[in-house]
Amino acid sequence: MTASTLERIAQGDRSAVAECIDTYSGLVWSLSRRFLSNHADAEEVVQEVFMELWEKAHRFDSKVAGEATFVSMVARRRLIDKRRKLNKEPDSQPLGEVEHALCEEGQAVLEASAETQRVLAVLETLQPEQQEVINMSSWLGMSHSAIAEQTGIPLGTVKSHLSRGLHTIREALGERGLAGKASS
Amino acid sequence: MNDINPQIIELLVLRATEGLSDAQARALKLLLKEHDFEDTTELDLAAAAAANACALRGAAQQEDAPEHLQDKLKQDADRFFNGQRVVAFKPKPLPREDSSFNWGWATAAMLAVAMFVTNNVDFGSEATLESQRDELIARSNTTVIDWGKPDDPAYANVTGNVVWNDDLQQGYMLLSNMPVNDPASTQYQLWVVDSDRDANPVDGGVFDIPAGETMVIIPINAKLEVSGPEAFAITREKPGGVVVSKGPLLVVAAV
Repeated sequence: MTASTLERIAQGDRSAVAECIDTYSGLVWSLSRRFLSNHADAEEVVQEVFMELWEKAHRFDSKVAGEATFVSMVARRRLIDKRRKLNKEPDSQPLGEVEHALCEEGQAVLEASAETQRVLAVLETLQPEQQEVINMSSWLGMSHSAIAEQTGIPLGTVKSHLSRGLHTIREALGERGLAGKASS
Repeated sequence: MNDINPQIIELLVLRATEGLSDAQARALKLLLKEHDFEDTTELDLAAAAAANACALRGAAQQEDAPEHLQDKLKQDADRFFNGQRVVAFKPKPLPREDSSFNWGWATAAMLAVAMFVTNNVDFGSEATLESQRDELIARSNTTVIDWGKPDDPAYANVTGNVVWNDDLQQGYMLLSNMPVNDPASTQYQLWVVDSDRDANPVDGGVFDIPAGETMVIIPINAKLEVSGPEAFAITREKPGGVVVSKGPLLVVAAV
């Protein structure tokens, strides 16, 4: 089996570094632009994300998640932290007018990801309202309260949509249940 | 699933979707320990996978990453993998020919060495600030002003400078030997004295000096537009800062 880009970086293959940037910079940039409206902030986080990827490449385990998912997780964590520090919500826009910008490279990576396709299929099985809540939280980076305010869905329902939705997606990723994490 | 403490689930979902406050993070850590439950990134991965799927599903417009950003990423990677951080942080000459020129070289070199030695996980953001400051210095209409000799003995050893660009409304403070503050009791606050404003100085943002940092770079966060600053001054205020400061001015850079 061919090693992934991050696995090759962890093994010391320098040729994989530029490949990783070419492959994922678009995806990380697109995420950053969703979470942070300020260009300078978005660029700074993209640089931080890649620095973290170089440092943590050895932690990527292809048996746990796909590479695009791992990269997005690192990016989202950084973005969530950054936004908490800035104490900002992403720009709130009416439904239907929300921009779904995704760069060309990012789109190609995701289209090629079997895992993303699998999760996409799972999303399609959820109720439209739940799909929208997951979209607003995971991709647009909106807080639970902002989603409730914008959609008119009660906050408790937003939270339960997210909780159930994430558990369904986790199961689609093929991992054991959270209950399996209890060490007792 | 029924065996799992619902608070743990709630906090893991919250962490994966909008992040945790310090108190929530502490509560999660305590609950995980109390319930002998291994921390897991599964929901973080699920949220990331959902983000990717939503991005693909909703892609209607295309937005490319800026070319200069990709170049920066490759430069960062070169620095990281070559282990040439001292070389990578080789300071650029400041655009002045007075004493600040030599000072700039010396302090930037010290910073480079310090960063090389520490090699901590925050390297990326520090590297970014350093390179952003360098880029700003290289821009036209950027001014570099040294901090003056402070009157307060506690701040007598503070050196550094302020980099400011009116056109971009962007700037950085470089502070060396600034005394550490306890953010729970006081925070530093920057003020910008604007020649075009008759009113109070413009709030330039609050900041902290963490223990163990001999030199820091802090972005200036001016709350109002600044045009032709006459001076930059730092005061020590209550946490969160104040609207109008009563001083004293601890460190001042006069244009």
